[in-house]
Amino acid sequence: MLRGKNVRLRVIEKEDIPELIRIRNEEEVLIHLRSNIPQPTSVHAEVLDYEEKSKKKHKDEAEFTIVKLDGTIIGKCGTMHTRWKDSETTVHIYIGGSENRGQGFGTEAMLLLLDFIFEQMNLRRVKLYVFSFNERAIKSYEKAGFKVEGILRQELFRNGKYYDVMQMSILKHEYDVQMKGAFGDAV
Amino acid sequence: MLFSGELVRLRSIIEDDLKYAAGYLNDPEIILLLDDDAPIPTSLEKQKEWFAEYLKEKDISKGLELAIETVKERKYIGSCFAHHMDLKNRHTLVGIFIGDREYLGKGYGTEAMMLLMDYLFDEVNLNKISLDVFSFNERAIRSYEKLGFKVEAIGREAVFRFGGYHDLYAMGILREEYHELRKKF
Repeated sequence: MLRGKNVRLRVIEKEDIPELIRIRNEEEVLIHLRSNIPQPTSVHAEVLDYEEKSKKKHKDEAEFTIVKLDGTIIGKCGTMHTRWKDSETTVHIYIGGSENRGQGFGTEAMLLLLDFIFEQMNLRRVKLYVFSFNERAIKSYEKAGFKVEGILRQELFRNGKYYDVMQMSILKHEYDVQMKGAFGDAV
Repeated sequence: MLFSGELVRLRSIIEDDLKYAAGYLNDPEIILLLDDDAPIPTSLEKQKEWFAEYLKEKDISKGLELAIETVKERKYIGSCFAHHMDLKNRHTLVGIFIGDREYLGKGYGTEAMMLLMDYLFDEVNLNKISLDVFSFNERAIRSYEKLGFKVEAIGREAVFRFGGYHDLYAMGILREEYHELRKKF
């Protein structure tokens, strides 16, 4: 569980935060991750947020630091807005450092996260939103088994104009079929 | 005219509406089409509690909610709302319900939605309006299509209701599409 060939997912330690924020403030991540004003976040704000979350004994979301097997932090992934009644959650992920991109690390981390969501959290649908210009991410999500289920027109203003946002999803039964096939040994 | 049509007008919610609202929101046929959460019976007390919060909110981007009142009888028949306005991306989700069944299917809801859209596009300066609708709410989908909304995404099996999973439609309309359509009305 939570360990693949190249990366593993582990608990987010307070000590990870400065490195995670450094990664999240990389322009490549800042531009692609969120739809709000793309200004860098301070470590201080994130630590406060982390402490607030840590007070809750029962966590209903899963969040992980993504590390390479040698322990190097390369990003973060997790669930948000989990809707237990609808058995659905929304995922997010980011990988930092140009040397870590295009190596399949993100896809592998996403597959580990999906495995955790379907097999441990007992959910049956996972969705995500990705900006239309983030072609590398779209390819990675498709590799992980997500299907585009719609294009939300002009929902993001960035770099001077409006862009579409793609909505993608994967259902548990699709994941199960996929894991029996070619991806069976990826996780 | 702003907030005013031939059949309905949009106005602020007042305390007298709450007893009607409690009734409307306890009608399974209304609430099961309106909200994704598992329905739970409401009461006048709960509506009052919600109303106290409503009065405190000064920032419309955090939750605009307006009463729909008939022009003729001046009757409160439902509400429309724009929760979570995203001002940077000039985008919002909207919702509406007509709780008094007498006024269903007669154009009251459509006109209320048009007044809300006029306001959001022409006064708040939004670029896009979206809404979510359950795949089994066919009447609503037809009415949104008449208003110019297009289905942009189908969330597969995204909603659990009536013992099974159903699709959730995301519909949207852009400002320029709305203005094109508005010329015809």
